[in-house]
Amino acid sequence: MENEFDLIEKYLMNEMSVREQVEFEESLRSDPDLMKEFLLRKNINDAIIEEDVLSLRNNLNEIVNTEPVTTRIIKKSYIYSAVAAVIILIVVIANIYIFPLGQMNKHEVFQYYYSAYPAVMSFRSPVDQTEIEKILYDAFNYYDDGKYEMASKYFKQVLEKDSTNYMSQFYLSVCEIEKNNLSEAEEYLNDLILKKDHIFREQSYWYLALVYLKQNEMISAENILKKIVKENMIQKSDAQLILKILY
Amino acid sequence: MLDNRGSVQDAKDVFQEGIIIIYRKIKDNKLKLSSSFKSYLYSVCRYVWIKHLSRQKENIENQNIYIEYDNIPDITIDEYKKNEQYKLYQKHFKRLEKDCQKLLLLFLKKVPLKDIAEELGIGSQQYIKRKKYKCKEQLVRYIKSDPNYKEE
Repeated sequence: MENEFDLIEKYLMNEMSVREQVEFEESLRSDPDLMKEFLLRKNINDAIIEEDVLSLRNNLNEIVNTEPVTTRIIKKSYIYSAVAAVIILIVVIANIYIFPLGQMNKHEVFQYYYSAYPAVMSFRSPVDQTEIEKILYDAFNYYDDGKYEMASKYFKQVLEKDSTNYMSQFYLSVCEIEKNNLSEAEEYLNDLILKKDHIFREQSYWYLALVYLKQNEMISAENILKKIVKENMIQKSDAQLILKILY
Repeated sequence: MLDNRGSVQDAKDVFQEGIIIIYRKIKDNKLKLSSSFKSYLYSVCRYVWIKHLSRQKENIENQNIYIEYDNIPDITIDEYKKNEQYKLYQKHFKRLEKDCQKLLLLFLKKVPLKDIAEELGIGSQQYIKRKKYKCKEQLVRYIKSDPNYKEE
């Protein structure tokens, strides 16, 4: 088990290669004991990095334990002064720890950064269009109108005819996000980031990070955001800011 | 609480945990007050006390009295459990040597190894890694040997 502890710590500290991560995640899925140990260690990390709560707990301890208790009934005035002190504490600590980080939680970060990727396709006149272009034309019309159910149907048709049409796959993933089918979006985007030579690669990383945030998969989101920063992708500065806000 | 077999210390503990649960809600932007803060704090503390009693089999009778309480605050069972878990983990974290606490925090904040070495005045990065491992394992041992630790 000791070796497994090492692996868990390496994973939590993001010290694994992508391949090691994938293998480890596979082991997590198939081994409930390993998953229990992983969750324990991950939660310990999350708990001990809560410096603001630790500090609040210490201050509360001081407040409630330094007040002399002379009767069995807690006096009303004691309750009021303790409540007042605690409210002041909360405000002070919130100012120190939360406001500088932009006051956003992951859902707000998602709301703030996410918008459907704009439709960027120019078409030849209908008579000159190929069969795929005709389908794409309809797909983008629906997409532009916010009719994502229909748009995704047409993007899928394109993919059935040409599985290497990465543009369709990318827009399809955005449609799935809009329809709140996040696992499907995740699947399409994960597939896209593995394929290196297409113009939607960086956008795919970005949308995948947002999908993970929305799914509350914070470790996966962090890994993708770090990749965006490391590889100097277009959204590098936004990714840095999110990492700063949420991690 | 005092009328229901609770002690002054219980009251202090419940008050603290109530405040911390509310603080986390503020942090996550989940706090929605539909009454005064005082009433809300009171209902959260009462909820924490009910949950505390429900863990003690001998207090089932008392628990039934409280369960009829109709003003349950918007605290989810996950928020309550998380608070209990984190309280335990943080308690044992504070038991570690100061150096261990500092080292674990620096690692979690992703401070580069060479900066940690400088901060702690330790030359060898290998030593730092070994020390961090020992600190974490000690913390896990403390937690697992706590009678209040429950495997999920």
